[in-house]
Amino acid sequence: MSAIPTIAEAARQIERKALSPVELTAACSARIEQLQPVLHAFITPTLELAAEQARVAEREIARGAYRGPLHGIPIGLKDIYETAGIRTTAHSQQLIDNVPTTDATVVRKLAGAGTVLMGKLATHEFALGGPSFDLPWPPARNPWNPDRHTGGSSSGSGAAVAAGLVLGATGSDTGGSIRTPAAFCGVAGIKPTYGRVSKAGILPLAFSLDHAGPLAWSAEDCALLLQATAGHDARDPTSADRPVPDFCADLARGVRGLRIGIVRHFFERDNPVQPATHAALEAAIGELRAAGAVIRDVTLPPLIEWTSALTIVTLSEGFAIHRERLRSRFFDFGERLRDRLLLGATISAPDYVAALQRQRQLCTNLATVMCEVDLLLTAATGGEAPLMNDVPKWGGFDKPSFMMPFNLSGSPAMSVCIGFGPNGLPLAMQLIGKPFDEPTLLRAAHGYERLTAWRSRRPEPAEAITRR
Amino acid sequence: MSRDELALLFRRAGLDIAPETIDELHGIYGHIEAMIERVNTPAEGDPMLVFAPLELPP
Repeated sequence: MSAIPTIAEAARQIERKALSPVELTAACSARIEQLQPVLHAFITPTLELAAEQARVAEREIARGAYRGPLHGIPIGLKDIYETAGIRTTAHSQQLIDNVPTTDATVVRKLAGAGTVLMGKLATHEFALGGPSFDLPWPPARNPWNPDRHTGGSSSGSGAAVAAGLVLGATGSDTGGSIRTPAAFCGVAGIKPTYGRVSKAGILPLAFSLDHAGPLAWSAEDCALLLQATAGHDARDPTSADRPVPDFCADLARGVRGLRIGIVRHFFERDNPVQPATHAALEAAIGELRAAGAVIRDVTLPPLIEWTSALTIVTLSEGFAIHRERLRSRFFDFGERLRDRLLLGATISAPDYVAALQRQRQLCTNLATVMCEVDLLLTAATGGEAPLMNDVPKWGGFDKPSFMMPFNLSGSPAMSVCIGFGPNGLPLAMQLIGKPFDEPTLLRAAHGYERLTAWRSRRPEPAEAITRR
Repeated sequence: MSRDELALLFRRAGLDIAPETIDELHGIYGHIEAMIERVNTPAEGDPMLVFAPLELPP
């Protein structure tokens, strides 16, 4: 097997027994063995387990017990998702020997769907602060160029999907941690509505802002993974008791008639993007307009307002979560995470409450704007992935994030590849939907992907990366 | 906030932080201070209610 299929493509072949889950898993395993020494996407590969799960899936399918489109599909789990009997480290010395006794709800659901677990994936330590070089494992590297950053914090997830080490992966997103690695690695990543996917058994960063969601090669694949993982969970007090729609039902409808509001001031005034990114965004907007979307500019409060509120909430909640570890095992944190967490000690309760009050105000403003459109479109990142060695320790404090507004609002949001920059690295746009309207968001993303050829371009062959 | 006030906050939190780390954190604290000031600046139409994540707009 040479070409790397999408989940949807593989599923169609597996269902009609034209593709063997054992062979598909073996192909992923071979790529992992070849590329893991370069990309460091995994903390704990589980290749023997994967081979056994693939054999079980194949036997089940052969006897007619096909479970659905994820049956026999190789996936990876960000290493903050608890896995019974498999260590869950959060990429941290703090949890280097942590072997949970139960699965996270999402892990249990994916196993129930018949997926094949290739392993636990690299992350920024406890989903914040990387890339770090003082942890027990090196940071993941970008398959488009291993000298480049993957983005984070779901760094291994972005790298593994882009390189075809897995066909789908889980991530988490508190301030852009699904969407940024999706953007830098040229894959699709969706942060669903807050409460849509259970966080039970996922190590927290900031309780009120954490979202769980998938990364995959395409929007259609994200829809398939979301279908298997969404739904109310009594184990998670923030889980929403809402019906789960068919996330694939509207995919084929295209973008015609969708009303898309462009948040242009985010990427032109509040945090101007690089010229190539601006050109790619304009081209994407033009493609959507030409395909029948109704485009107009909209205005939201400045990015810095959103970023300020989110940063204060994240640092406060993150410090509360890790305070005891900071007291008792200070040096078992990497420097980047540890020093960020310490800033949380400087924020008072009244300032935290003020940030929550500002959050409500900002979200009220967003809801008013969303009454007039179906979706928003803005930048995902300011440009191509930076060099690993150029990622500053305090990155993010100097420029406001395009992602953070939609963690504050809990809105569903996606990164979608819109081309490649001057260094051959992926560029992305961000699409944002109304709360619990992931079907429209996925419809637009899939519609855009079908209008363009970007999904046909993968990182260069594994052999070339390995030779560098 | 002065460097000494910052060091006092860490001590109150039960954290014994190295002087050079406090220096670095004091250097970056200006960003946090600006964010705190921003969220505490009343805005027109501010309902002054705390956000609850599941109270999402329709």
